[in-house]
Amino acid sequence: MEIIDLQDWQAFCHGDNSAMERLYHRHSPALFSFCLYLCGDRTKSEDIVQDSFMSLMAQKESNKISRSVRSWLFVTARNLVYNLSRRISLQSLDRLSEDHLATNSNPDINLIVDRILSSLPPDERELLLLREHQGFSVSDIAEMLSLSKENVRIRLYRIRKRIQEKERTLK
Amino acid sequence: MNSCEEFQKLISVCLDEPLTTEQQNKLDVHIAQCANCRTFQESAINLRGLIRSLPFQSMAHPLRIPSPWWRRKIALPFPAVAAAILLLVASWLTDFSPTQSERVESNIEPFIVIEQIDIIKLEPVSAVELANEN
Repeated sequence: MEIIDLQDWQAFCHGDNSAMERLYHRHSPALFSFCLYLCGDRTKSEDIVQDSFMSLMAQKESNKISRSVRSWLFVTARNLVYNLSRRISLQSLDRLSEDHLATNSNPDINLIVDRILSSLPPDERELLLLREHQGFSVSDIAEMLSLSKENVRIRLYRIRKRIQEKERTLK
Repeated sequence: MNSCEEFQKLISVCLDEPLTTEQQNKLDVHIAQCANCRTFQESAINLRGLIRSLPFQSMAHPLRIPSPWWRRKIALPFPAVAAAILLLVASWLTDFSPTQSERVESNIEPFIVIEQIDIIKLEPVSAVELANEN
């Protein structure tokens, strides 16, 4: 995917707007879902995705993307969510639950996932989503979040352990 | 590596990256004997399954790529276009109105009359002449 992204990015830099549309169609559902599960607000998530792609387009002049286009988009969106979090609380995922129930075939599972995500602080929720939902590798996450690989591994272990302990108390 | 905590860290790492053969063998042996670590492994795998079951959501609005200004279509309201045309016609008509010289010729007095002023030419005065005057 990274090679196709790079080709489309180069095409966009040379004036092909349809290449940006291809990038958008390829990445917007994942990026939007990431923002939605992170901040819980559908409208704000749409704005953040739009702003992320606008920021990407603004890089056209310099033609410099230090990491892969996908990672770049996720880091930008994540920063925009955190800017937003100064004004709203990321802890509240009430509206997210409604969104899940409207779109997923298994509402019971969604309720469990919502409960898990809601119980985590934003930085841990973000890490879990990047790893388990978006499938980024430990190396990618470490680079994206400016952490060491060992730090990412330890954080993932703590999240998994905490959720297991919560499951135990619920049983 | 003896404690369950160490093995559980390894279980977590194992979900994200491949372990060395030695690490994997030790872990397999431990998990076979330890129910506590087996539970942790099941929980972590279950969590992965749950998070991955979350659907990718689609956005309601498509991407709006702003086109360069020279490619943008300009939509002007009719009154603005009409006013602009009227102004152009008015300025074109004023070009055919009489000029100032034509107005003088036709005995139309100008608005401002500037009186003639005598210009005094100052001659340079030498130092000797100044001394004589004094």
